[in-house]
Amino acid sequence: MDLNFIAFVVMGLAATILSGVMITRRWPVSAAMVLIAVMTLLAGMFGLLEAHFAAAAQIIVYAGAIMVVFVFVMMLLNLPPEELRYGGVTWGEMVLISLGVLVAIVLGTQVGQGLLTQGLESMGYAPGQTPAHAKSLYFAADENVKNVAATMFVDYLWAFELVSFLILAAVIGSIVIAKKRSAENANAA
Amino acid sequence: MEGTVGVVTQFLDSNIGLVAALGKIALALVIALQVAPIMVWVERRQAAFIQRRIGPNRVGLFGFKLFGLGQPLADTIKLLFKEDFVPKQANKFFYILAPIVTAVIGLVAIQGIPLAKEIVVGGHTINMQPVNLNAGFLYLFAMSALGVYGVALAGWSSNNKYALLGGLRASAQMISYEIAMGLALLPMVFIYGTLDLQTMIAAQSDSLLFGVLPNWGIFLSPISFVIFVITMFAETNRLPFDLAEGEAELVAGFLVEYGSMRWSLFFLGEYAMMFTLSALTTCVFLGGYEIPWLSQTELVALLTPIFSAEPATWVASLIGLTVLLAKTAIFMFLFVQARFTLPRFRYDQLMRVGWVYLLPLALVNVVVLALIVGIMRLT
Repeated sequence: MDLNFIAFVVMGLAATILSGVMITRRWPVSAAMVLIAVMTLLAGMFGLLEAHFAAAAQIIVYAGAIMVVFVFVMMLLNLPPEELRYGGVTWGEMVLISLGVLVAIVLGTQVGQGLLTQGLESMGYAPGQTPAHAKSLYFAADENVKNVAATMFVDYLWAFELVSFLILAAVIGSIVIAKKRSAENANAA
Repeated sequence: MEGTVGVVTQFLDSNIGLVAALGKIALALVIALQVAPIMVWVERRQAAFIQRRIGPNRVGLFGFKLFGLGQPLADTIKLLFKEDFVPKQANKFFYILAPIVTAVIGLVAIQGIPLAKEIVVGGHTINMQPVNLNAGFLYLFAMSALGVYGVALAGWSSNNKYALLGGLRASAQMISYEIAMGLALLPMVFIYGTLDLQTMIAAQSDSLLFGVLPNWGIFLSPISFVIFVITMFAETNRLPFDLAEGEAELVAGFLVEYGSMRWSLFFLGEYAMMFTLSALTTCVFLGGYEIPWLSQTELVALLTPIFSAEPATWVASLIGLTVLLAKTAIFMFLFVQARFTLPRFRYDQLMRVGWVYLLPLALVNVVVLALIVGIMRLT
């Protein structure tokens, strides 16, 4: 048994258990903190899979930036659990849970994975082989950052720029919505 | 007896990677743990000099006074034996967790610093950077980004309005300055063409302007250096950016409910983070463990006739480590000097410095240097 494998299994188990812990917390801040722990564990797993850039980006972007804003707002409101509404499980949530179980079964069992990779085999990719995009690596396989950058700015430049345009539109949209609210509030007061 | 030695040698030979990794981590931990006590002493002495006092100069070791260097030890013993107090209304779990988070992240972050050039032991080359990821110094950024949670959690869990305000201020401040910090280092990435600190340091061992200046990042991109040093102060919550503590308005901010060893864990983490960021500045802008005009490779070549081939790399690395620590000490001293020289910013001033001045300046710097580097690559 090599150390990487043991570490990977331990991290995976911890992440799974902590995800369960996260959705059962009553305090929003506790849930957010557990989520950060899960994200850090995921980053560790990426790191063990030699995806160093993904690991660093996971922590910098999700745990270090997005979650800070979430935690900031939660702390600012600082609502105790009594003031938050907790209801029973609705039908919609039941459907979502069953969908989640279905996805877990498909992705988590060999039969399910076989079904997913069936189509790929006919296209010439066998399971366990290097994925399609990795066939056109621009740099050595361990040059993570360079390969990500090359793929992003050479192969998928248009898709990348379009997505950034979409995000810009979303930012402007959110500013417009926020402005409208504050203007209405000012009129009301 | 010889059998035991044989077994040990064999074990070391087959597990050299693991043993070396543990050794490097231990070395970095020892350095990080020494930073806090020494810096406390330096800070108190320097404060005293600036304020025309004497400062702690009495406590020594074994009858020697040593300029009061025994003071941190006495302080630690005092802190350890103080009453461990948890406020009644505090969220006990997070109240206890917060200082641990700060200290652990400080101690983990330092592992990303290349301590010296690689050494050769028994034919195995050992890279002296404990955590050497392909993503390079992004690891340090990730750890520095996580550092905010210790402060934010402390503020929230203390159940104290001053503490909460301190925690909120800290998180807003750290997000704001992280952007300028990343943009300040971006030019260095495309000037050296790598994220890896060791490659950067190797590139800085050359000379610039026909050998007058060492090829240091500070000469290649001075604006980046200035912005990075300013944001470094903000990221570590040090004066003039210590709005999170701000004794004058927030009592002590997120630290207000903390005492004894828990309080000093915050200090440990803060100093470890200061050291890590100072060492990062050294590696990116001041040539890391390289002596100016004398690269490590040349040093090893010089030392090889005196010692034999392998011990020469050890001596060179030791010299390199000393050089790194000396350069880092300059920044640590700058932290202390700034703390007792500059007044604190107001919060709106802090935000204006970050968003209105530093961020656009860093962006312009990136664009200009990108154009220059692009043109130089073309010709």
